[in-house]
Amino acid sequence: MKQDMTVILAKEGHPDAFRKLYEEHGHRIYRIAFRHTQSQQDAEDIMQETFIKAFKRIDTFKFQLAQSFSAWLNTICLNCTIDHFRRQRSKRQDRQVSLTDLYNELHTHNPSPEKTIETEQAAEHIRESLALLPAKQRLIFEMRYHQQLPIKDIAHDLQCSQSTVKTQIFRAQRRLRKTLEPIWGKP
Amino acid sequence: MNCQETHDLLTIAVYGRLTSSQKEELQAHLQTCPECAAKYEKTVPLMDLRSEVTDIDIPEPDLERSWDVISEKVLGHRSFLQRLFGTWAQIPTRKWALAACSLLAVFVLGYFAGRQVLGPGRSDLGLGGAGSAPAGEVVAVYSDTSFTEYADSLRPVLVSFLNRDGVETPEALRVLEQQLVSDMLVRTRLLKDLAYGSEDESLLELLQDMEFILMSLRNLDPTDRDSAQHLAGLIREKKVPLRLQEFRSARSTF
Repeated sequence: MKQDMTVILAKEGHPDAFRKLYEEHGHRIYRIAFRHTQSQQDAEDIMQETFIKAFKRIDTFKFQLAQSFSAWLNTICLNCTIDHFRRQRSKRQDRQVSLTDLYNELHTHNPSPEKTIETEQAAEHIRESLALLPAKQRLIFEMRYHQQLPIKDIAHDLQCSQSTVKTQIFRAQRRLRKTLEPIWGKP
Repeated sequence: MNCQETHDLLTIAVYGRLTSSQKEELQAHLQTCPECAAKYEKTVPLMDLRSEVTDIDIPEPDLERSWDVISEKVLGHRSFLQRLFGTWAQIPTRKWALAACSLLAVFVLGYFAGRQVLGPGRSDLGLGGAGSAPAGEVVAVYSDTSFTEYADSLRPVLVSFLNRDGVETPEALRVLEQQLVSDMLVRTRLLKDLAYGSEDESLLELLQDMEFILMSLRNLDPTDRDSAQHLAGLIREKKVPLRLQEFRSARSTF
C-alpha cells in the first residue's frame, strides 16, 4: 500500500516519489541486469535506461491490471537488456573465432591448477557465442539454463507465451550445439 | 533419455548450468552409451568455464551517479509548474529565482496600479480621506486584477510548507524562499490596508491571519522543528489554504 502511494505520487509528477522508487528498486534492477551482462558498466547503463523509460511512461502503469510495479519494472529491464544485447551483437558479428581451434589448444596443454591463456580464451569464446545469439534467444537461454528459471516465469516476465519461450530455447540450443559438433566429431 | 537429449544437456553444461537432476540423468545415460560418453569426455574441458557469478561477486553500483543521469533526463523534461510546486528541496535554484522575480514584478505592478487608482500625489493607502476614490471601488479594482493571482501564489507556498515533512531545505533555496515569503508579506499588508475600507470582516480576518503566518515563516529558524510544527498546526487549524481557495473561486469583489 505504501509503495502504491509512492507510485501514485510519481504518476502525479512528484520528484521525491521518483527518487523513492529509484531507491527501492534501483539495486534490484541493477542485479538483474548484471546477471545477464556480467559487466558493471553495462548493468548500470541498463538500469539507467530502465528507470528513464519507466518514469517517462509511468502514466501507462495501471493499478487495475493487478500488475505490481516491480514486475512492470522487471519487464522494462528485460526489454532494455534485449536492446543492449542487440547492439552488442551487431558489434560482434565479424569477430567469431572457431571454438574447435581453441579446443585444440586446450587439449594439447597439460592440465594446470591455474587457468591457462587458452582456458581464458575458450571461456571468452563461450561468452561470445552466447552474445552472437539473437538478443531474445540469448536472454531466454540465460534465464532458463543459467538462472534456472521455470518456463512459466520466463514467459510471464517477458510477456510472451510459453510456446514462444520453448521455441526460442530450442533454437538457441540448436545454434550452440553446432559450435560443439566439430569437437564431438573428432576421432 | 536418448542421445539427442544428451547432446542438449552437454550443450547446456557448456553454455549454462545443469541442475542436479539433469546431471543424474546425464550420468545414467553415459553409463549405457559409449558414444555419448566419448562426447562427454571431449566436452569436459569446456564445462564450467563460464564464471559462476554469485551475489558476492556482483560489484556495488554507483547509484548516485546513475540517479544524476536519470533525474536529468526525466525531471529535466518536467513542466515549470510541476517543478515549481513539487517540493522545495528538489527544485532547481534558477526556477525559484524566476518565481521570485515574477512575484516581485506582480507586486510592483499591483503597487503602481493601486497608486494610480488612488490618484497622483498620494503616498498613503488610507481609503477614508477626502478626495480619495470610494473604498469599495478601489478594493474591487485591486481585487479583480490581483487577488486571484495573490491566492494562486500563496497557496502553493503554504501547501509546500505543510508537506515539507521534515526535509531540510538547501541554504541557497532557503534564501530565495525567504525572499518569496517577504514579498508575499508586503503584498498581504497592502491588501489588508485596502480591505480595511471594504467592510468585509472575513477577508480582513484572513489577511490578518496571513500576515501573522508569513511573519512567522519569515522569522522561522530552519532548525527549530517545534516552531515549524506549531506553525503548521496553526495553518491547518485556521484552514488557511481552504479559505484562500474559497475567496479565490467564490468571490469576485471584496
